[in-house]
Amino acid sequence: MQYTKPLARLIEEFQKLPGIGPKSAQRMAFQILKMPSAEVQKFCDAILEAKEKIKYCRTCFNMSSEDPCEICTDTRRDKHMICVISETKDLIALERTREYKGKYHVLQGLISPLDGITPNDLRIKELLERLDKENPEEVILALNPSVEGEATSLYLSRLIKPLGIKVTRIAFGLPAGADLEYADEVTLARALEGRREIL
Amino acid sequence: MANYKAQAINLKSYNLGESDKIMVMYSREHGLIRCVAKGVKKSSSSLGGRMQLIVANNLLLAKGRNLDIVCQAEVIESFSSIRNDMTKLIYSFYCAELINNFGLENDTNSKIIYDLSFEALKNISIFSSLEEILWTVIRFKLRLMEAVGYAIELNQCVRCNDIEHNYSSYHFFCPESGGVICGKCEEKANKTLEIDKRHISIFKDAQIYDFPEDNSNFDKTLLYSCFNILKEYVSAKSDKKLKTPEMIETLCC
Ligand SMILES: [Zn+2]
Ligand SMILES: [Zn+2]
Repeated sequence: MQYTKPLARLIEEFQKLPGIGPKSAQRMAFQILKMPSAEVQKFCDAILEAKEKIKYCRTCFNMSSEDPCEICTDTRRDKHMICVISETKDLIALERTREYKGKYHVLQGLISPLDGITPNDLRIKELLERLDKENPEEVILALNPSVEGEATSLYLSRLIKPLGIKVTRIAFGLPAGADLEYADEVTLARALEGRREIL
Repeated sequence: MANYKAQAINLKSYNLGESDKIMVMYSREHGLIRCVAKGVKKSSSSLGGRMQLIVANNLLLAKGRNLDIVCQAEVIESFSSIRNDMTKLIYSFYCAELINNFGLENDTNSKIIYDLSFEALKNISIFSSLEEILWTVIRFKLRLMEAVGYAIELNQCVRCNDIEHNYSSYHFFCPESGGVICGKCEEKANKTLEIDKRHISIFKDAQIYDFPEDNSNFDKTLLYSCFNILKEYVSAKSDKKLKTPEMIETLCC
């Protein structure tokens, strides 16, 4: 059976979202049709407003409705430290720890040769300009522990170290609460490599 | 549903939903395989590290409706020193892209291709000089192309089969036809690259040796030019545009 045209179109649009297959898209579309018109209007407005108002901060490339963003303008934050991350969602994850008080720089991706993503596709040039201007003491690389994250970290440290800025990387290892015996060999080897002296 | 085993190297991955990944691997038993690794993006996943790119695993897979599913994995080799070196990483990515492009599902030559891929990655991780790494990748490309039916011609003109000359007298390589080309044919060929007997002897040695015993006249520029000649050849035979060569140019020179 074929869907009537507007319904088919709605299902098609939902399928553009990440992780949404035809089945889920169909369920979402039916749900929308069941909702009162006013609710649907609110839903549409929220999408449009977010799209309209949220931009990227031109300093750190965090997603924000302000430019510069709330973090860049916050004078209580330590401007001697810049934490480099790949996406805004990583920034949110780090903020949830309440441990980090410095600034951020969002690369908007990772170097991924097999996908054709080169350093030029990332906000690396802007990071270097920023380092030149702000002259921080430390750059913390907090990128995913994947080969793409690794490649990006190696590339950045090669560029930043000669500037006389300390480059550090977050530790990779076992998740808290995990059992050593269940850890995979790659993770365990990295954890060993990143061991540190107990003070 | 039937389960099956495989030894495979992770080449590429795509995100699937919140926490799963679609993995593209090259296996010794079945050639190129695509399968789903569930939950690998969660930090609690025991598969996470094992499903990183450029890791070889012993796998237990379950036949799925569309894609098969990784049930268990045990690391055979994680090529760990590749991960600490930009140059090694980029050349390994290049090898992975070639395996992904030229490998086939249910490849009849899967055993050979897997073994030479494994050897290449292992050697990239062990060797430390750029010369050794270039040699490894040159050797890998020659043997991979041979295994997929595109062996290069070094002994006679690839166009007219002229064998009057000794191989040392060929001065051009034709990427499109995949071999050395004589002076007469060169004039009619679309694109050719200049070579001399030093290139040819490196190609011949690399087909045979892991690493030459006599590397006294090893020259980075020469090896790099050999690498580039093969790069042109491999790109000419690939139906997809290769993405990693550009990265090699920006990052490794
Ligand atoms: Zn900002
Ligand atoms: Zn000829």
